[in-house]
Amino acid sequence: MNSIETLPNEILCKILGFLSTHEKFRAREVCQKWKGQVDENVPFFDVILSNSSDPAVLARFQTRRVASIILPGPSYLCSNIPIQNLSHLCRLKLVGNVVGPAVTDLATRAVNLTELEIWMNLDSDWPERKKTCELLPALRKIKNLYLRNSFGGIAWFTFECWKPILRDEMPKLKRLEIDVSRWRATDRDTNLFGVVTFKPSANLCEFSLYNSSETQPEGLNSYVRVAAGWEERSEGASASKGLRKLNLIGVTRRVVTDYKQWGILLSDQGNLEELQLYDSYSHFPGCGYDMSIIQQALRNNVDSLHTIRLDIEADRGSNEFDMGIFAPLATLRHLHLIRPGGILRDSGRIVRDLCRIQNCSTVIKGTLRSLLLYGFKFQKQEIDDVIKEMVKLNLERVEFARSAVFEIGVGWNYFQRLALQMNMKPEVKVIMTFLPSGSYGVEFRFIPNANSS
Amino acid sequence: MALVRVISSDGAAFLVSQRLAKRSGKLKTEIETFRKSSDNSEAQPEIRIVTIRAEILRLVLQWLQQHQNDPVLPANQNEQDGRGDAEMGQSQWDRDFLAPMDLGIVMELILAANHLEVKGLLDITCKLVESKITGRTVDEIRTAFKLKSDFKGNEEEQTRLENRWCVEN
Repeated sequence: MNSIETLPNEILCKILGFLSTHEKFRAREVCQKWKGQVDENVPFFDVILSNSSDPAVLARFQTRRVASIILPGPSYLCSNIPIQNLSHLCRLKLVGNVVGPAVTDLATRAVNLTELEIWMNLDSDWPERKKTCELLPALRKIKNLYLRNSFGGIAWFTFECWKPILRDEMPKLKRLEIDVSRWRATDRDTNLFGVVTFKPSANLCEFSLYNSSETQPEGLNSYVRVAAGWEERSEGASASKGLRKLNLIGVTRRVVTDYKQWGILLSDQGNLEELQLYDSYSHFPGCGYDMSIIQQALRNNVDSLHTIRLDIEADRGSNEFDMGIFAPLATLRHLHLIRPGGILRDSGRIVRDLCRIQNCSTVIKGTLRSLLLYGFKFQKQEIDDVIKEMVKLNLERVEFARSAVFEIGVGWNYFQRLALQMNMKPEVKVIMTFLPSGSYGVEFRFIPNANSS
Repeated sequence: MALVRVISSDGAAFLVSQRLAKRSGKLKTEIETFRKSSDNSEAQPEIRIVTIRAEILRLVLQWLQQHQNDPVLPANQNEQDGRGDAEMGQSQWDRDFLAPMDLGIVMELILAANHLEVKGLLDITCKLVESKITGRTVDEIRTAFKLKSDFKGNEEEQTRLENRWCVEN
């Protein structure tokens, strides 16, 4: 009889390694063997070290294989982080005002550290923010760097500290994500892109720029400097392989004259697998992007693009969004269409057009697996048609997030019917979004029905 | 097309292309060893897998056939990079493939994938087992995997107490 007990320890560890930290601890209670494996051999991701954690409990991590640590507050500014064996630590996440000698020490000692994620909030409580400079030696080995803003954060990164990222002094950098929204022009020292042009490392393959701020449009100046840097890079290094993943979020708010500048960033790419381009704020007046730039970008990457997340309302020059721009894509698997304002009325047409394209096009047919419609409004009378068309698309996964179907009186029943006809299982969950008007949204997703097979 | 005979523990022979067989790290090594030791370069290699029975071997070959054009993932891939990939790689075909299997077959398949060094198959099967652990209580896990608590005295209570803090956050 083959049971889980016949598996060698290394495989049991691999399985237990997939579990979340929480589940790993539960697995310790199953039997002696599992407990032993979790304690000795399973790497821990996302170990949260907080004030409330009992020092005696934290001490248990001293010798464990900790792969990822989250520090959620300023508590470690002075005290020591109770982990001795740092050889497995590859990910460090700092939430809030935590950079200090102890963190610098940790980042420097963790020789295999490849990912650093920093979330900043109120800097007013943090007189030592210039201490981020001390992280510099640790940064040179980092592959993934995420600089994010939590709610309420304002200009905090100091120029001296982050200049190396911008001027290609982090040779191993593969993934870079920066929320630029709080980098204000009012403080010259902190508005990085205002002073220095971004020149990315040659290894950079995933690049995301966010502007999550509603009230600080100055952050948008950054895009112009980024695009200029890209131009510089293209001239210098023709061997650059380009990006695999490009996310520009919140860019569509920029006034029309600047589109050409960041259009360079798009037109320079030929190996893109994932493209995200959407606005986070619908009510910013007079914004939108030039659809011909997007169309060209899609055309340049027809054989590699598999995921697209696009704000289709940004094309405010015309009211009709042309779904035909997706027709030539040979490898498209995930399509996310976002309509932040929900201004256009004919949401049903988008689904019908997608069907039509799939029927005519020899390429997109058969590759599309998931569809996400964000912020759409369906008319009550078109819902039956939408259901029919949606079934034809033969998708593995469908999500509606913040769909305004409720506003017109058809709710859960509609989704249930749709799920039934697609032979899927409906799920509802509450999500956090970038949207300004209420940070919570409801997401409907349809996942394969396990009982159907 | 160069072929190779792969023979299961219960004596069933499978004739597959060498190109396909080489997507298994173990078979690749075996084919190369055979090449070096054989004088006749045209001879068809024969590989006996004494630990895998026909039913399971057929499943492995079937999976390899389906995924023959996938990029080969490096076996020593950094866990950090690999975390998201296991999920991405699971196609509808994989789900249909795994759906009818009972846990015993899955365990055998894991052992086979491990022995034959087929990383993609090992990943999806391990992920499947993981999904049967996630979201269950300790007792449910024990029932699902036919495991018995072998804690002595108050050890189990002790372990539960040690775990309490992680629920706090």
